[in-house]
Amino acid sequence: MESTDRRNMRTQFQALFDTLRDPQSNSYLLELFASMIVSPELQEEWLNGGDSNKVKGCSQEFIDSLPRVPRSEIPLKESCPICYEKFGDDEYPLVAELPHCHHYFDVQCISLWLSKHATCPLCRDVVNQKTFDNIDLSKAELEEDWGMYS
Amino acid sequence: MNSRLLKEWTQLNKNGNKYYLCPIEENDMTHWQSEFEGPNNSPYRGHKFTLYLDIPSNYPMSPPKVRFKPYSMPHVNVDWKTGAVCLDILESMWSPIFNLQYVVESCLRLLTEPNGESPLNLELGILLRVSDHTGYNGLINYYLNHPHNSLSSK
Ligand SMILES: [Zn+2]
Ligand SMILES: [Zn+2]
Repeated sequence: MESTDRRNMRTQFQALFDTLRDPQSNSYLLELFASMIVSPELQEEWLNGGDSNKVKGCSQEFIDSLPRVPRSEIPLKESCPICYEKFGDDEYPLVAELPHCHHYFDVQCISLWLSKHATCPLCRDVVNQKTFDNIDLSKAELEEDWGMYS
Repeated sequence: MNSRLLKEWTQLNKNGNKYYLCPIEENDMTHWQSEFEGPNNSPYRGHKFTLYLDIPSNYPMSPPKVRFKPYSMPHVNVDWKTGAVCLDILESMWSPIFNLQYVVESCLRLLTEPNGESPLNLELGILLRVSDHTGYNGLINYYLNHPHNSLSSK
């Protein structure tokens, strides 16, 4: 009887935990709350469950479409920040350039990373956001500002 | 990807390896350890610590699993019993450009800059939050001088 009650309570807490867990907000309070009533193993399970839903990689299509750096422009003496190998150590280096931040990586290394994540390893820029969104927004704001003074 | 570890190992030996960061057994690059002294400007000064780093097969795409020797590190962000470390760069903020030395340095920095927002040691977490520095340092000292003592409520 007692263990059934406890199991019910646990299920309810987990449901509450999942509902409250907003990826945008600081989940510190929630985690503190959980840490006071739930065993560490279970907390980890829940938190990892939440994370695995949150972490999204880029599509294969996006990864395949990353611009390649022309051979003549590859900095042969510089190293890939992921595997630490010099680009020039590869006889036929394949180097990709990320769209917004223009950071360079081996195609192979960055493809592996982007299949599970959507950020640049160097600057954490979100790589697969549509650039148009930002441009349109700033333009709209600009027009609004201009409207104020006209 | 294992050639990355070899590169790190070579680099460490070339640069003096001040944290004694090395594979625990010569032919196994998946289990490393590091030994260092507590920083002078921290309650850990004068004590030696060992950090274990377990390297996943897809390193550096995934971070190493890091823990202090169990029952050796009384710290807000360290589980006293298991030695597990709570540090953002070892979870969601991991980047494949980081290396093992950076991980060790980040753990060392945690000793001088504990993070009250993600306590694994609740007693120390509460003392830190209410800014009870005497109690906080006193409890750390007690733990350090009574290792293997499972004092914590958990
Ligand atoms: Zn690489
Ligand atoms: Zn970048």
